[in-house]
Amino acid sequence: MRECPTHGDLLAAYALGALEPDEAAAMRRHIETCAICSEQLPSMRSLPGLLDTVDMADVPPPEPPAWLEESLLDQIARETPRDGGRRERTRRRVLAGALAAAAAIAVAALVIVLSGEDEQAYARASLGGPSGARAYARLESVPAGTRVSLKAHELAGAPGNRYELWCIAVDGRWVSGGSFRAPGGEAEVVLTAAVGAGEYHRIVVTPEGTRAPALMRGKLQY
Amino acid sequence: MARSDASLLHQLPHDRSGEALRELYRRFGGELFGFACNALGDREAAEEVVQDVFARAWRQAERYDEDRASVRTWLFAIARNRIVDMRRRASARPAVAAWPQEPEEQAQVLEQAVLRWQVAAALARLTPDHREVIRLAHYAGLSLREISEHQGIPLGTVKSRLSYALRSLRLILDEMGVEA
Repeated sequence: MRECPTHGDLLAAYALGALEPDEAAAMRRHIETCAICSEQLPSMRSLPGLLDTVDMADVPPPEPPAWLEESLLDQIARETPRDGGRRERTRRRVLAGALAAAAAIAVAALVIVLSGEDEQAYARASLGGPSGARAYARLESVPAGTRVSLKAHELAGAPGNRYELWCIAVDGRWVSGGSFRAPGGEAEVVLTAAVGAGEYHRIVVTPEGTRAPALMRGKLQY
Repeated sequence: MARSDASLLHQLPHDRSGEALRELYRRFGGELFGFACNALGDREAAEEVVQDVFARAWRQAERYDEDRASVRTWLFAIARNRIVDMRRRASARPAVAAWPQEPEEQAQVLEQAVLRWQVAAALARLTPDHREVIRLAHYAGLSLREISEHQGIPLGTVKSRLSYALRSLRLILDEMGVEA
């Protein structure tokens, strides 16, 4: 940006109203005769209005938690076989005339096998915690309630590395899904909690036998 | 050379490594999250929105038309729809702040949320000295002379610092496409 050699460094202060009254009056007179300043003033003039939209307390703006990226990639990785199944189906339609019925059934069976795992889950949840713990949970209905398949990484902070999973019911009850160990911070476990779909929206992992501190938590995505 | 946003998006359906998705997330995840936080006032809900935006982008990448919108605009449009859905669901709960009924007003609220995020992000990119001088001159309403006395810095230094600070801010906002 070109800058006026005599008054360039005052333009910003002028636009912000940070000049003393006599300086501001002199600047106003200067701008009327200066091509550079009069050209640059409008882009500076809009700044006070833009600054008014934020509160300095909001700077820097919130950053997404680090585990969100991994949880997203986990989610996509899980969905990938399903997509493969869909493509299989499309191809099958194209070749339908030529293919024997048996082959078509085999492809259909493949689709069911590939997508079956995910079809059963009524919800999933990404969990994260302040110290970098993160997990992915898949929730399925079983006669006893909900089967929670949990895959956790970098879980730490419980005595003896023993943890407990809780489902927080909509009425505020904490329903335990049971306890598990996470050697080296890693765990891949299947637990059962006595809650059903729609009865809860949050999952929390704590040290075993206590409700605090929450080492990681997550919201269900139905 | 860095790959274009559009080519990354087109690659999504064929990319088994997840690298294209990761790169898109790194380019836009932060601002989408800031925008969603701003619009929803809830970090957990914002996390859900961001995850959903990228999952949808991945599933619907074939629908993206480079000639009609930038990838950024397209992703924000998905985020907007998600936020509107969430606000609609949440409005059943009395605790949530008022949310306009009219789609036009909703669009306005969301535009404001994007702008707020952009200005905050631009301020965050300035040096601490530049941010501070803007805070004193704009938010605290001090004149150059008062800042000089208040901070014990020569008037000439305050003058050039505020000038550099606002010019940098203007440049960053221009880069982000903030025209006003």
